[in-house]
Amino acid sequence: MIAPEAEPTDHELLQAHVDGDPDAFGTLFRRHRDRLWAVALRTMGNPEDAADGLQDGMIAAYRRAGSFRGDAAVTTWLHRVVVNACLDRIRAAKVRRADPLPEDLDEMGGRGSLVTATTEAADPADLAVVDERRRIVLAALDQLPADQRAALVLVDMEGYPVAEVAQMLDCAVGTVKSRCSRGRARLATLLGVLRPGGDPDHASTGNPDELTSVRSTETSRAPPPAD
Amino acid sequence: MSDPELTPQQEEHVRRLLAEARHDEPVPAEVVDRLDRVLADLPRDRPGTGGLAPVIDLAARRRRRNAAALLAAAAAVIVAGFAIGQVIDVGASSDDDSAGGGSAAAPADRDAEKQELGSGDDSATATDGGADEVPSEASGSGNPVPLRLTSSNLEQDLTRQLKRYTSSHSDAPAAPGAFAAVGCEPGAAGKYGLGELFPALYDGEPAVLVLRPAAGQTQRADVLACGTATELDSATVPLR
Repeated sequence: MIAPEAEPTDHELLQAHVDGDPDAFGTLFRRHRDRLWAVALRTMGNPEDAADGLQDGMIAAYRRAGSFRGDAAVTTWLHRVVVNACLDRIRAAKVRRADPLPEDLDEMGGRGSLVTATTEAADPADLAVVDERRRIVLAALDQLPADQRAALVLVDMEGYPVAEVAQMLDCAVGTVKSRCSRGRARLATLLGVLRPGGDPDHASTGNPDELTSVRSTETSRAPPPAD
Repeated sequence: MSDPELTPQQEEHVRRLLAEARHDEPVPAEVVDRLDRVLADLPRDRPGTGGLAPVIDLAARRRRRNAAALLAAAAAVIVAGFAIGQVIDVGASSDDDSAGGGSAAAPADRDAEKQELGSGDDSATATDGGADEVPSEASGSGNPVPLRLTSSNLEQDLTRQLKRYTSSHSDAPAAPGAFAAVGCEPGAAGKYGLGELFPALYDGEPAVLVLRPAAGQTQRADVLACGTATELDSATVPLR
């Protein structure tokens, strides 16, 4: 029996793209697209901006493939390009936007724990609670500075090692740790984790009135596309 | 307000909440379609090298431009020669040797024409020195020299060249003539969005660099295609 042909590695695909193979980049990007999308979505906070950021990153990676030095994994490099594209968009949007900052969650955090992490939620009612909790966490995450948010998305959500995230964000390992630590502390405040009853074993308040004041994550953050 | 110190349990709690909020679904179909369309357009966007750095025959482009300039110069010389001939003819109409004088003047005109064509050729040769060379007319006219940017090294190119730009041009955005120097018309105001506009050559192609308003200690630099304002590249650079 003939052994199936081995799949080309990421490095091989990227090199093939640099060498002019018209299909190589598409194959490579599709291979990592879902995870890049998850990172873009959580970094940008809404699907519209995430699609823009992912597209920017894809184009940048396509064009700059020749500059890849090969001293990191291709997937690390791809994440780096996409995260940078997202952060660029966030910075540009921040400059252009004159909107007031979204409603602060501090006040809500002061009312007690908004969310309680649980490991299992098989019951439909529990699933609804999980969905709501996720929404609150994402809204709180959206309040963080973009650099802290990106670090938390990559380390705590996606589970990448800190050293690899440092490569993705082009900064020192200590910087990633610091961003994560400050981001978690801020989230703990926003989510009421520090308050009495904010411990993991305490039941969620489940108060819908509190939840309605959280800023929608569906709001577009980026500027309108250029004509 | 300083960030609170979290206990290990609190930190773990936050991390668990974040992990729980992870997005684990595939890219939506409409986004996949959009990305595939963009990807399909990219090779056409940058033909010649598998979609990477395009090979643009700048020398040929300059030769074409110089040939056009040469033709224009030749036409001007011919017109001038004809006009001078008319004046001489009028002045010498009473002289029987007018024909001789006219015929003597003609070779001189032709010599002058030849010399002009020759000097045009020389300048053409001089500008053909290298593919990345800045068009000489940009530096000669007093307009800012276009930024020379590359896709492989955009951040460094910008950081290095914008510093020089500041010192030599006092922060002044480029004059329209500078855009013409790279074969690019800046177009209607506002087309490229908010920011300072600079003429640029991006991988040898005429482009417009737009320095967006500052965001803290940095600012975004967008490289946009001439005319269409399509974003070609972007980078974040230290505040000028």
